[in-house]
Amino acid sequence: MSAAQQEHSTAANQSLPARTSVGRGSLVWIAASVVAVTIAHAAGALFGLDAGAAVWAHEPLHALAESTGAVIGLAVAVAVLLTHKLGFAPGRSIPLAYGLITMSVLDLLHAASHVGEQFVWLHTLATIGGGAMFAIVLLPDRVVTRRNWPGFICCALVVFGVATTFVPSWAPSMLSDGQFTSAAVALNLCGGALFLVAAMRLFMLYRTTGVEDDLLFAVHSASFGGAAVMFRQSTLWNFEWWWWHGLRFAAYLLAAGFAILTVRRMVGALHRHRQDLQSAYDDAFQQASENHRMLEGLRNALDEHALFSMTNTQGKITDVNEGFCKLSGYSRDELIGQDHRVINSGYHPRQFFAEIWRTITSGQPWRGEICNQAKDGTLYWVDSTIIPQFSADGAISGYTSLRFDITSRKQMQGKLRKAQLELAEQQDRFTRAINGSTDGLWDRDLIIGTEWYSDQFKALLGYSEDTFEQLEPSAEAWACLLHPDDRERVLRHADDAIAGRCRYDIEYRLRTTYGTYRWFRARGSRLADDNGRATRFSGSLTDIHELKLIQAELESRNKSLVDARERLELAIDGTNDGIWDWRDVQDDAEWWSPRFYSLLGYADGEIPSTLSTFKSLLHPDDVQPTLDAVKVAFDGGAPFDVTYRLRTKTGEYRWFRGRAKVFHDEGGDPRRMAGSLCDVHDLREAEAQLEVLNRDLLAKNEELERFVYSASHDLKSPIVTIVGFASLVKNELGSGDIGELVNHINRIERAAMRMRQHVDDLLELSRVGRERNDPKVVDLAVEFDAIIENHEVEIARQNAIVLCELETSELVCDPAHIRQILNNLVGNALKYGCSNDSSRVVVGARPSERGLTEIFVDDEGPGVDERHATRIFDLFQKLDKSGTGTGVGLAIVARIAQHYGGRAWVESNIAGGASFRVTLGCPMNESDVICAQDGALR
Amino acid sequence: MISTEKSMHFLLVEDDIDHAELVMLAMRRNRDANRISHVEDGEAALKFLRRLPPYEDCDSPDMVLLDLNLPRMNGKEVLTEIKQDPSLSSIPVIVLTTSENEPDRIDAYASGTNSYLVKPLDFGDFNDLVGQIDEYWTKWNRLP
Repeated sequence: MSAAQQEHSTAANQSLPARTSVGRGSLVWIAASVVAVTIAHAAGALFGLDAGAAVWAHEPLHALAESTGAVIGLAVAVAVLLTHKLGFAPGRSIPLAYGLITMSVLDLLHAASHVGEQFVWLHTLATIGGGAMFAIVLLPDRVVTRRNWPGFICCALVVFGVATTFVPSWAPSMLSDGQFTSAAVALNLCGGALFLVAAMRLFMLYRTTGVEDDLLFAVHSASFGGAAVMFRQSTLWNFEWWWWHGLRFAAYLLAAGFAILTVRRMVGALHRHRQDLQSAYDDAFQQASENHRMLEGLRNALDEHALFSMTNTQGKITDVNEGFCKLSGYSRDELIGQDHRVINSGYHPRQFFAEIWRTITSGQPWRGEICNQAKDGTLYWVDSTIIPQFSADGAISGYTSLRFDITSRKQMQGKLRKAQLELAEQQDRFTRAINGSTDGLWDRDLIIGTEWYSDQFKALLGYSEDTFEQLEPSAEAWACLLHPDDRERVLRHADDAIAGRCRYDIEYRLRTTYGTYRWFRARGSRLADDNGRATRFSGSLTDIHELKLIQAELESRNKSLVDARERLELAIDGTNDGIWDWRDVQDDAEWWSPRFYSLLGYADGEIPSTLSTFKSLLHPDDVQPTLDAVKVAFDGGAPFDVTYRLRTKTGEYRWFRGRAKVFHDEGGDPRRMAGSLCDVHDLREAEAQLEVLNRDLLAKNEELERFVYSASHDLKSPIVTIVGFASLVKNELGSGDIGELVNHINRIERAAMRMRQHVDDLLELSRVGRERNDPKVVDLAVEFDAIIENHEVEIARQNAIVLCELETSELVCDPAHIRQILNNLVGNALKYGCSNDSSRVVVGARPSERGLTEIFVDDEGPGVDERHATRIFDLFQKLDKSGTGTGVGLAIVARIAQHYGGRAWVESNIAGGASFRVTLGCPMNESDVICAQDGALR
Repeated sequence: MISTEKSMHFLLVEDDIDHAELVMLAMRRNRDANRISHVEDGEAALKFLRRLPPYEDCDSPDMVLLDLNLPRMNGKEVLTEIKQDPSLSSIPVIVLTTSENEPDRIDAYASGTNSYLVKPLDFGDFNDLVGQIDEYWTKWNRLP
């Protein structure tokens, strides 16, 4: 089949009818074939009429011709099937090929058989079968090509043919008396008709499509058809018989020519195709080289301007470009095998990356801006596009990401946004400042000469918007509003400020729209160009009129205050009290007046005037009561009025009276405390003395009462006796019953004597401490000896032993007093303490506590009951009625002891007797005695 | 003179023997039937009342005449002791003293004395006083 045919076939497949040029060689072949067939038919017709009688039987030649034709037919059939298979032949080629196969196989069998029934039958079957197969071309291509059914028919015919060789009875009778039967003739004619119909169809197709093959097969089919028709006229081995065999052989040759032609065409086509391929390959190679170069360029550009990376499905980096390494600071080796967390800056939340991952794992590309962190810790922003890569089976094989460094853009955006915000904030602040400010604002452009005044500026001067414009506001107009007294000063100051010589800040008066002047404070600043020339002068105007009035008022009050303060200072100086002021009770600092210092013996300011100092000067016993009093005063209780001791400079504590007032704040908390300090030491001393004297007096009163009581009883008792018995005696004398007269008069006499004794004792007692000799050093040994000598009679009577134990030999006192003590005590001991023979009385003196000397007299008598131990030292108290004493001796001893700062008491001896003790110190006057008693009590 | 069948036993507690003599003289002159026992101090008085030696054989007195100014144990202490002793507290005690001191009187009544009498100077008055004590406590008064 030719290239042209192939092209046509292609065109036909595309349903585009196209006439194609037919090769010249082909046309020659076709024409020659047509001519040859036509001549053969004509000759056949011509000779068939005359040569019917001649017969030439040559079986081998026949077999050779038939088998050669069959082989050619098979070869052509194979070639046709092949070209169809390759797509170069239309569907109708199939029945033609199978027809050729059917005929070729049966003809081979025919060639192999000997002349006879079977011989004719196989030829006939080949003719009818081939004709039938060729006639299939009448059917449309789509029917023909379905399920390859012509192939099955082909096989069936062949099988049937072979079968008849084994079972001859299946075939109809072909010969009868050496002549073909009518069945044979009919079948051959029928086959020929089918061939001719097929030829016509093929020719029509050729006319329609112009495909040379159709024409060739039309001639081929016509030849077979002609040969079949000629069968009627022939008999075995006659001329006609050989003729139509030749015609058939020619048809096979024609088909062979077609096969050769087809092969040649295919070879040519293949050659051209190879050339085309080569050319296409060359073109493609060139294109690929160009593409490669372009890609190289792109890659370089990419490295320069973009970051590129590839990861596997797990997100591990498999490739990065130079740009990636450069920006991230990591080397390629450090990045390969890692995932992108290496450069995670922590700026984005986890959800951000989860969203990226979710997008790209679903096969969608992701684009966005990511903040990453380089190896050195710096942050950088990238515009990132991540594209999933797919393998041939459609699965994601990895991800490619392309990033662009947008760090600088981001930074610029950030700065821009911040700047915008700041600007907006400043504008807002400015607007609010202008609106909210009570200050008027003004701005003068010194170059252009324009001026601007805020609404508040106008309002401060009492102008409305309109009226102010009528004023034609200008520096000149403003100068006219200035108070005449201020004008020169202000204008000069403004000039200086504009010239940059000073800050513009001045107070002046402006005339308002009401015609009155108000005080204002103007502040401003200038803007200067590079040459130092002022370009703008702007500032604010504050109404300070009220402030000025208050200032004036304050100054006036301050003056009054100063006057008052001076008066106060004069008063403070004039008073004897020290003044102190604790201005802030939270603070340690105080203020003390000079007199305060001098009261403490210090010069003014010599010691720090603080609470701490004050506390340190307080007497330790007075600290807590004083602080308690302060607390009470703080709480608003009793006013502070406390007497305490303070240590003066000399170290001596003196009594002071502190009085103070506490000032509270609005919340009721103490804020300030101030008061005075008054020296009450002498007063206090006098009070103490008075107190002592009072106690003294009370004691004396008590003593007097006791004395009076004792006197009233003990002096009255004899009087009762005397008066009672005297009246009795009088009665007795009157009645003459005088038997008891002497007895009663004796009683009167004893009572009178007892009374005299009492009086004497009282006198003696009163003498103690009143009539005194000057104290002198008394030798106790001498006194003790004298006493023992005086009592020799009693000692002898009691047969007592008196011992003397002197640990102290001397004592400073009135000798009469020591004698009185010893007389009483020793006398008592001999009288009451010597219950048995040779009783011992021990008299002695020894040192006692507080530097006193103790005199003691111990006896071995019955002792003194504890219940009477105190009473026996009272006046006129006697334990033993039989005693001759008046009960005043021990009272005298006690009183002497008191006089010498000591005391007298009685204890029980271990042995059972009594032990009278007297302690003596230095003699005192009467008040001293009381004081000493008081001290002992304490 | 008041005569009555009933006789009284007085205990006189008096340290001054002259005063005791005056009381006993007056008592004898008033009514001989009355008995009178005399002790000189407080401790002896309590022993007597409790019939402790040496007074175990003595009768219990119907009344006590008590001086306040006594040695060892004064009259007030004796009075308190008597009035606090359930076996003695019913015995009337008449304080007979020279003291006209207000505190002494208050103390004596507070301690439970039945009467407080100041010793008169004149024997006649003394006599009357004793007679009236006798009359009041023997004729008119009813003891438990």
